[in-house]
Amino acid sequence: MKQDELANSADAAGEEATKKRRWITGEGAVSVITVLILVALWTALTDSYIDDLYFPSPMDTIQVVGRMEGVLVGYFLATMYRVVVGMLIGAVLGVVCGVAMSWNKWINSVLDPLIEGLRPIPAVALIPFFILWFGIGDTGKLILTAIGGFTVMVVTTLEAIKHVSPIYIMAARTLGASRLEIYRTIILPAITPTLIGGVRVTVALSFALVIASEFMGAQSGLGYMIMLARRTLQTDAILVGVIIIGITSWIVDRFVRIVGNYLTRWAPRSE
Amino acid sequence: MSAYISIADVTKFFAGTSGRIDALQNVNLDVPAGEFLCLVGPSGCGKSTLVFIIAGLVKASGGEVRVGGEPVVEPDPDRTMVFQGDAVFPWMTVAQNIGYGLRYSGMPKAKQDETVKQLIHLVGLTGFADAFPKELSGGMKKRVDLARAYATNPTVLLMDEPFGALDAITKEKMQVDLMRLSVTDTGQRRTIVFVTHDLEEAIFLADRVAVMTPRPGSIQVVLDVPFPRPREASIRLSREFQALRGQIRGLLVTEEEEN
Ligand SMILES: Nc1ncnc2c1ncn2[C@@H]1O[C@H](COP(=O)(O)OP(=O)(O)O)[C@@H](O)[C@H]1O
Ligand SMILES: [Mg+2]
Repeated sequence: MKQDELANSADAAGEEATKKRRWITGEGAVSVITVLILVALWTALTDSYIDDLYFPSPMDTIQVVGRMEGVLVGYFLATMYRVVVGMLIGAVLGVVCGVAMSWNKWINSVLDPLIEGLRPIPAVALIPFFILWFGIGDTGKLILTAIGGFTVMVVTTLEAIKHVSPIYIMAARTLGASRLEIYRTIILPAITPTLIGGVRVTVALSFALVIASEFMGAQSGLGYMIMLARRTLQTDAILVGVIIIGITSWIVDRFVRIVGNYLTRWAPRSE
Repeated sequence: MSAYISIADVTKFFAGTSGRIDALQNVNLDVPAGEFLCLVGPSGCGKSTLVFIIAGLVKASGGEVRVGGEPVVEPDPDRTMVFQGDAVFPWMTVAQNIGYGLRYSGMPKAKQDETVKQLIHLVGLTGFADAFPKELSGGMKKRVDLARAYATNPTVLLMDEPFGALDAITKEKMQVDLMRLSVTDTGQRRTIVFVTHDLEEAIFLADRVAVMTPRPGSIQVVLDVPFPRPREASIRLSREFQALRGQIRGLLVTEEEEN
């Protein structure tokens, strides 16, 4: 029996090594081809049927990056600051409150109506209020983003804690763990995979909230840039903004996934 | 010998979604120190509930459980448990799982590591100390679970169908290992309550077999298992063994027919 198990794990290790040696897989190659076809199609269409006024060609788009380089970096950093800081504040508070609510029923009864009241309201609907209260600077945008992330993470945390298998908690109790220790050594690791999923939702939401609030009132940021470009019909600048947002959002998501995979390296995965 | 675990008039009901469920009714059972007691009974008769109550994980609705003279109010690492399902913490390595109870025992860290190392060796998992449970087979995970329950050197070991999910050969091997390990550090025999639905397993392991009635469960009869120890796997084939198995089976079948 043991022999078999050892043989199996050796097989698995071998497979993994083969996977790493090849620099691109068949599936990867297909995805690259898809992208190339899309770019070709884009070039062809903007050269012929589509007016620059509605959609820029790839060439225009690349040129505008060179032209705008100076402001672009500043706008990019302004947006990233709002996304990252707002998201971190919201996510951390969300997890802390979720854990506290499951820890103590009084904390739960205080916070539950607040969260239930907040949850059905799309955070974007609050932007006008935030502009009224905090102006068009960073504060309002940070709070708005934090509220969005908070709502997602508090709900995710509560749901995840509810679904921790009671058998783990019972086992820990019979082995002498205190309640605090059970939270630290059982509940937190057990909910981590679900929390990572929540963080990924939060990342996407935070980008959406920051860009939307930059549309409505700002003096910097990619959303602000897109808004200006729309007024002056610079579709190439709009597209550059959109592409930068898309790429950064993807990179941040990728980063969360990598960190998440490391933190949950113990979890069985279906490929 | 006096009763080490004494279960007196224990009753348990649950408020189920479709009304009250009476799980246990007036359970009375004494287990002397060092005894290996197997608990058998029809499924749903409250076996798990009874061991959870002994563990201190579930509160009885009525009656009392005492262990070593003290009433059970909460779990205690002197009474560890092996569960029916997979209770090995997937986010901890084999060594961390086995050493889990020791963290809270006040044992110096170096001594903890030493104990864990010995246990890993004892349950045949040498070389897997730093593996995560996902890399182990079902049988190996059960060994981790067992070693973890042994680590705190408990006087009472509660086992709820621990080998139920294992294949026949792994199961037999685990049973032999269990017999070998069921002695404390100081050479005393541990007091073990072992739930199973496998009658051969019950007779092979037990000093006595307690047969429960269908729900609401109570103790129908407690039978002595006369075979001397150490027991060879081959005693399963003996006539006395099979006769005892037939007798217990008869008790369980009549119960089911009555319903
Ligand atoms: N937490 C619970 N809530 C409601 N009913 C329960 C609960 N735990 C067990 N029961 C019921 O109590 C009875 C006994 O369950 P259990 O002790 O698991 O039986 P066994 O282990 O003998 O199969 C069953 O009818 C089960 O449905
Ligand atoms: Mg059961």
